[in-house]
Amino acid sequence: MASNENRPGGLPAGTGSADDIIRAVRDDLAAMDERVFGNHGAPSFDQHLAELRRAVNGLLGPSRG
Amino acid sequence: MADPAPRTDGLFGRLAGLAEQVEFEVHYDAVATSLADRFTLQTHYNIAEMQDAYAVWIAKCASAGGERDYRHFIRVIGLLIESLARHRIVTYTPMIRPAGPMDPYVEVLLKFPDEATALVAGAALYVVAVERLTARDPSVALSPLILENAAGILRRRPDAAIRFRELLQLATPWS
Repeated sequence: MASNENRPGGLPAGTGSADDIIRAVRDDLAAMDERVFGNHGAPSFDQHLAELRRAVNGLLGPSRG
Repeated sequence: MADPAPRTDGLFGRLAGLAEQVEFEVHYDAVATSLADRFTLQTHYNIAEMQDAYAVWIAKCASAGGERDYRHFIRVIGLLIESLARHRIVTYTPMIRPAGPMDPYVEVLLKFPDEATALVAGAALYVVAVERLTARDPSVALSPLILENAAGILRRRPDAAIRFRELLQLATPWS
């Protein structure tokens, strides 16, 4: 990972190319996938979008329509 | 809007996928479309603003750092909401004339389209991730008043997004 020893994870602003910064953020997020969520799920594209839509509807409560 | 086919299918559905601009846009579109479908609205996007929001979010995540733990996850979601709320990405228009008084959710979406969509997008990602971990939905149904209050706070202070769990009354599995 392109990183800086001054901070855990990712790149400090102003260091490296845009691709390096994106890669570092992706690595941080991937580490969270592993450490925080233990890679639970990782569903298919369609399953994930369905979960997202269900979460949106859950946040808004039962539809009155 | 972004091509709906993600480039990194192996990452889609994981947090890491959000770092890809295409998937970032697909996620946002999924949320905005869900809101629009639910309330019979039409979405209108400013793609340049969405791209700017993505770039700002990546830069904020990179400079914020973190221990790659749950606190980092919460910060990443807060920064996502803030970055989206700072940009004029989406507007909604009703597709039908309401027969009676306008649905209060619709009023919020018309008044605070970017802030409300940002809040719901971040909260939905939080809910999906936490639910996969705990098998419990951490959300309670938001009243229009709570959503409007949170959106109004974000319009004045986008950096208040870091308090999204309190603003939206989301439970946390971490002590």
